Amino acid sequence: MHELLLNSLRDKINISDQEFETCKTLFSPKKLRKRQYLLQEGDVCRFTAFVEKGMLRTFSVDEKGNEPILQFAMEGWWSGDLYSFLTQEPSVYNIEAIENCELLMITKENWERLLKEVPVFERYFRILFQNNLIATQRRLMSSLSETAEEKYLKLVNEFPGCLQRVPQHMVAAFLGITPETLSRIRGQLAAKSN
Amino acid sequence: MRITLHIKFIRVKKTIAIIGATEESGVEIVNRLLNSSWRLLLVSKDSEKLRHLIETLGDKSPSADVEAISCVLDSCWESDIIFVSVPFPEIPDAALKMKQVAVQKIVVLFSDYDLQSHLPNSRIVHVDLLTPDTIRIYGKDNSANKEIKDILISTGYHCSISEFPKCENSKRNNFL
Repeated sequence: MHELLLNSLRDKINISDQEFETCKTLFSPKKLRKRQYLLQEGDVCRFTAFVEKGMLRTFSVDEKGNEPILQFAMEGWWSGDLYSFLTQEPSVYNIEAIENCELLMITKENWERLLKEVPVFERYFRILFQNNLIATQRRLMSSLSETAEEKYLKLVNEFPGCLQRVPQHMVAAFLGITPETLSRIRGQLAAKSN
Repeated sequence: MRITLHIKFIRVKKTIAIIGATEESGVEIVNRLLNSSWRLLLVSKDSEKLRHLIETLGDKSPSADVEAISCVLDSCWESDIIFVSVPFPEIPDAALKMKQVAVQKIVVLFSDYDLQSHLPNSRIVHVDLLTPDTIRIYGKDNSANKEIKDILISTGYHCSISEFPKCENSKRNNFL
């Protein structure tokens, strides 16, 4: 139940068995079915979640009803609205399970407790936050300067497994293009490779 | 004149598991929660009684989000709050089955049984039914007590929170 979390921790920090046992007492296991929501726009994000199994999408809804996707979260990733979680302000995002999920959820209060009782977690989350900042900057530059095809190819190269699990319209929503444009790009790439 | 109606669709539906849903206290709480905004997962050893209960609930409230689940573990894994209404002798077994997935979840018990010793990392709330509509709540976790009080009040109960351990003159009532 906590295997991927332990892998994620040991990938970045030295954590003892006892420290990990303490950590386990603060995370609540939660199963979410496909299409169930973890967070709704307007609610405060009271949990941040580690994904042991499955995939979720974080998205907002614009005036036209479009649903641009901020991120996907799959096995070994974290999901939540960081701003809402840290400030306890209402979120502007929705988080939906796009597959059946097994999550490990931690409240803000227990997260603070974890940082205090197991200080090595300060380093773990610092590394996660810095990686997140770098990834966000890269995504912003990609959004500003790359073509739709370049963005698609970057996604294919960096997260090949993701595309098989995500409906095409959601891939398009993540890339900030229409499904029709994505379909055209894929067709052109397929023709080139032939 | 233009009138704009904003409707917020409730997408995040929290889940309550009721273990021992066909016991007297289980049936009572299921009926109380039926028309709430909660999703209910019902667990019982007696599959025939459970099937009959689901049918009855469906007739009463066709739009209610109620499901029978055979497995204690899975129901508690999916749930946000767990009500335990099994008879006394079955409580330790139920606790063992849910232990791993009840961590940091509120677990409500209709008696003063020492469930905390079986679920050390869960937030235990005890409930005493003083009259058919009046409930006393007690437990070590104040915020859990308050959350359960709010839920039970929304179902029509009159509720009060007692100091933990419970008062000497309170009646122990486990519906048995």
